[in-house]
Amino acid sequence: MDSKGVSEDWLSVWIGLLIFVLALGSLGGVDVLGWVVTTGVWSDLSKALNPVSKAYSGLGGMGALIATYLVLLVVMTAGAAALKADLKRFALGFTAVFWIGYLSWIAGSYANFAVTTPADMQRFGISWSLKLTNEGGFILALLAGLIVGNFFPGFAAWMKEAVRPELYIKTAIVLLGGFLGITAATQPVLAKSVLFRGLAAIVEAYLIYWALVYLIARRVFRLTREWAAPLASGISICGVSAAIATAAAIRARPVVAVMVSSLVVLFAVVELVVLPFAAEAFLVHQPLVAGAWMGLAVKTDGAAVASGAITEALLRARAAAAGITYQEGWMLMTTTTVKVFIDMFIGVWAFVLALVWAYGIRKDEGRTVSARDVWERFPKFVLGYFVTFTALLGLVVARPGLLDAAKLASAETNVFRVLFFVMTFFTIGLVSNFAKLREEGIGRLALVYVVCLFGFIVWIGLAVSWIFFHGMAPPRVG
Amino acid sequence: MQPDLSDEPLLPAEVKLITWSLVLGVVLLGLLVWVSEAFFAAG
Repeated sequence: MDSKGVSEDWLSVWIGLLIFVLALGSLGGVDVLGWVVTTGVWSDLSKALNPVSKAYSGLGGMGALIATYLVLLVVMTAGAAALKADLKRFALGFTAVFWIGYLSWIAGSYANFAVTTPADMQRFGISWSLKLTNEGGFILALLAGLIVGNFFPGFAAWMKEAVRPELYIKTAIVLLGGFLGITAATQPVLAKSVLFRGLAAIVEAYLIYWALVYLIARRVFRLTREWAAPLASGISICGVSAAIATAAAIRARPVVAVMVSSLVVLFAVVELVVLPFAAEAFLVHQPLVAGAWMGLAVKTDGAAVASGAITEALLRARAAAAGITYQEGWMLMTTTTVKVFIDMFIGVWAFVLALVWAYGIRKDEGRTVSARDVWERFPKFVLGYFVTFTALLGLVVARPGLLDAAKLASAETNVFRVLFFVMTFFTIGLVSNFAKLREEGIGRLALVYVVCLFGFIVWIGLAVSWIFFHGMAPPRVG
Repeated sequence: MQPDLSDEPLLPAEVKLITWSLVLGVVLLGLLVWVSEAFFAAG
């Protein structure tokens, strides 16, 4: 920690682990987090909200929502203090982010948006549904963010201190680890296979994607090395973090990383809106291919994991309509596994590029590149993810009798994970300011990005996903 | 601000990086598919 405060990366680990440890109280029979609000599919708004645990049913839905807001406000404002942010502005901004995000989530759970099966349509007394599942609320949060970010820039600027999509998604991913750990514990052979194949898929993606994008940017679009390398990392690896790490590794000017990062965020939103529905249309019989594809093709952690969540919801709904109930979490686990491995290797790849630039291109005198450079660029939230993943996986494998208590703990952390997802979607929309990008004269760079992303990145990602995950499916329930 | 256009030719180090990366990618593809099927079957 320095005078700038703790990084968002480390903060996400601490917040995620705090919630995770509190949720583990259920293993000892103490339900610490049962008051957190959850939203069910509704046609009568008064019945939409409830505390996640029956032990807190006296709170009522609105009481649970207000309690959730107040506790998160306190925790996140304490986190903002650690970041050395402006606390008053953060608290006000967070209030807006929370309420707009959660209202979008409630709206997305409206029966006509969310119901997926004929039986549920009958139960809610409706004759049609968009069948988006309640995770369609993520799309509404994104749209709300895009509207505010592009049409109400003054309001967006007012809440800027709390507009931290990276913090929210990294916290969500730390929490996701526990949920996926339990999922993995129920099918260890399949989980091991997903982990190895996820690692294999990203090795391929790194080696093939980066080289091709760099070659095309240099030879076809005649970009300089300073622009081509961060752009190749941004498009081919993992968006913002990779672009920034690469720009630092090759000592590019800061403007390069900023412009590439802007493009990454913008097009991640486009992918997020398009690719899950493409997966639903074409990969309904290859659910884990679809999950891996989201991890390989959609840039930025937030948009990728969010795409995995939407893809899983859409494909499970389609399968349910055909009478097949897939166990929840496997498609999302595949997306997350791929994405987390990609993040882990950003530091290694930046290290390789730093060596090539130092010794092969600039031929710097006395320049050294150390393992410390790799550690500094290592995304720390990945550590939090593995802690929660292995903790619950190890616990349930070692003590199978604790499965039900661990599931309750996981259910409670999962509600928080959804809350952080919703805030991620809303804030991703907020930072996607199309007019600003136009002003920056980003046209040529955007052309390279579009050509590479939709010309072959998306398709190579699909091919690699197919090679390693075709024929694999989540376990069926019932 | 537009990105700079290049009169920079591809240096041998860049060509090596691209070539090694692609060759390694193709070789490892075969190896990793084999390991996946042999030791990490879908179950």
